[in-house]
Amino acid sequence: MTENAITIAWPDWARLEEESEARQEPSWLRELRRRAFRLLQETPQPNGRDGDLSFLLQAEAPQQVAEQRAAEGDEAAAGAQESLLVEAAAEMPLALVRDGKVSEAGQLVPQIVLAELGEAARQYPDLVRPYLFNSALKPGQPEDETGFYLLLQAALWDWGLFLHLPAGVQAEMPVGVLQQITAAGRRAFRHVLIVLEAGAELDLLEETVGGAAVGAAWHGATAREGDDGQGNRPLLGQSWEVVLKEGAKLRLGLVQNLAAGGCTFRLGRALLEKDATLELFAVEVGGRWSRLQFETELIGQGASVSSFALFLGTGRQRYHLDLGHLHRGEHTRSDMTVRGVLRDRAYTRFRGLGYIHFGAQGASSFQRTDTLLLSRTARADVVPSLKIDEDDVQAGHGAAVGQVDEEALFYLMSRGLSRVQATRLIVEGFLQSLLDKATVPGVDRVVRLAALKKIESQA
Amino acid sequence: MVQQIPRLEIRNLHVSVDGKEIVKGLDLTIRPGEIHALMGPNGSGKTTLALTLMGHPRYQVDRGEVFFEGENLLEMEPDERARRGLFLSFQYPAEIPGVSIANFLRSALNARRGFLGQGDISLRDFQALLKEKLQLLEMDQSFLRRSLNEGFSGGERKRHEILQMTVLNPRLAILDETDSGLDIDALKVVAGGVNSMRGPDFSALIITHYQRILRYLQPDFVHVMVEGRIVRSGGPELAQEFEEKGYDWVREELAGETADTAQAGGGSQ
Repeated sequence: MTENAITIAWPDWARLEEESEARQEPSWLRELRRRAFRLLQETPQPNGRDGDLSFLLQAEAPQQVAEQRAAEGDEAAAGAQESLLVEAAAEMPLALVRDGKVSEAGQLVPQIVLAELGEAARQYPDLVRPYLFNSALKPGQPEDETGFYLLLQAALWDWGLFLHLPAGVQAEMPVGVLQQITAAGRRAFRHVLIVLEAGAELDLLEETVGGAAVGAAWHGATAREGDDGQGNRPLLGQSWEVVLKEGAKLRLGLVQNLAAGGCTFRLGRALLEKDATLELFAVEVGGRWSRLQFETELIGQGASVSSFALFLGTGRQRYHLDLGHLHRGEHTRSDMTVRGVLRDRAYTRFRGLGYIHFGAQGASSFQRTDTLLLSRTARADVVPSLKIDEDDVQAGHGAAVGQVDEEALFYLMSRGLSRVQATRLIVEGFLQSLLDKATVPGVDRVVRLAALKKIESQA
Repeated sequence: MVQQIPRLEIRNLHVSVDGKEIVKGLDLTIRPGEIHALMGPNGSGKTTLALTLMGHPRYQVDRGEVFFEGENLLEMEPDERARRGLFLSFQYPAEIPGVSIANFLRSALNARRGFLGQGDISLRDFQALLKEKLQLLEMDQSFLRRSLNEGFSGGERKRHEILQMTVLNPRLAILDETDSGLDIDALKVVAGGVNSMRGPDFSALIITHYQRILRYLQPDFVHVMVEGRIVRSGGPELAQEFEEKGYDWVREELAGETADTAQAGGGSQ
């Protein structure tokens, strides 16, 4: 096997600086990048075990960035990638940011500031600067794998979005964002910054597509198939920084629907002030390798978060999911509900953490994870956990990994459904009963479409 | 007169579960239009018989034959048995979250219709059919949107099983203790559902502990099963007799008989 040659060759700072200048970024932003870049070189790289991504980060000639951008434009124009979001949007009101065209969507939702992040840094420095890589995400900490990826994002992000809602404003329509990376582009780093002032409310549904590689491969078996012949695989880094002020409410759907060869690391962090509410719904259906880490910190009294995650894995797909709920404020509440269906040789590693810090009296933190394995070779490694430093709390977790219930299968077959029909109905029901609990607009449609496509791929 | 093909014919059936023999040489013939009641104490093998006939994978047929309308039932998968018109009302139906009754029932009906060469039912006809059957069973329309058996009360489960039976219109229905745990009103409703189907195309095997439901269903034959075998068969009066005397009486009598006939090779006819 020829995997995991960890030779990360950095783009040099001179080049990054040049690009930053070409984009007319303000000096404080360039300084932010420079600091992250410096720290990056001092931070130990992930060791490449356990499906780490670092071997993907290999040398890339400077001119490729420009080529990549051009190619992305082409592909976007051609509409080459199948999008669940676009399909679902046909049936619901949605202000869609597509092909990087931010302004049109912004016009549909009055009072929202919706801008490309670099643009926003120039136009609204007072709104952007206090938060960008300075609030929910702080490059330099933690000093682990996550910290490494975060530094990559802070130093190298090449496109981003800024969403800001003033106090008391409720967006009339959900905002949809289609993030597209291209086959030709080998790397992309995207950042999204969301700030909702007190009492503001927003629904945001984001889908990541593209990254059609030269094929799909990971770790061994078909070792060279997924790269371009020189060891490079398409890679997408994504990050989300979310700040919810007092009483603000965000429903956020994140759909990872990369093409077969795509690899991605994704990290998000949300800060919730008093009585703020977040509903997160992460959907993992695409790509070859995906690592999603999303942490919500409940700072203010009465803040609450519901995190849902749903993963559908086939072939040799690998998903690494880490969800965390950190309780700091009194009477904060969190619920984590995770469901997945795995077939073939698909694999998922899930880590859930509910952490009730000292002082978070009256907090409640619950987790539930269920994974359905449709083949003997599919695997799930599920570890929910709770840390509790306070007495007066309610908390619990449960996890189950198993095959389709034979009694349920028999019951449906005894009514005339074939084994395939019965299995399909059970899987759909398994997903539906999670969707019934979620309220992020459009997520149910997206998941149903995704499930349909996955099931069809069986034939 | 031409001999009718029996709806169900069981010959010398032996069934084991996890290596333990439960049904030990059972014979039973049910003809078109007949209602049979099968009574017997707990553990006599009644539910094992029902699940075996439906094709539950845990039940191993060691010996014997079963014919459904002349076809070898034991060679068929459970779904084929159902599509041919066999129905089991489960004592403990499985809960299936997220699957709505309406959605499931339509798929099931279309599977049965497909076998009959009828093609899928239109949405309008299906809704009309459901409305009629819900009224018959005194059930609310909202029931259809609930998930299959999830959080159902005992009575709701039983009504739901009978609803499925009336919609799927089977040729042979096996009711496994559908009467247990029902109050008298619910029992009348359930019995009404079964009676609505009576006719030459419908046969039934009613498994029960009690004679109570038989007052409303009026079986043509009553069988008593003890320790994996049918030990007595007769008319409706037999149910009355067992209700009055209990099963211990037959056990004792049977013990005597077994001693007498052990040399002859046994097996009741």
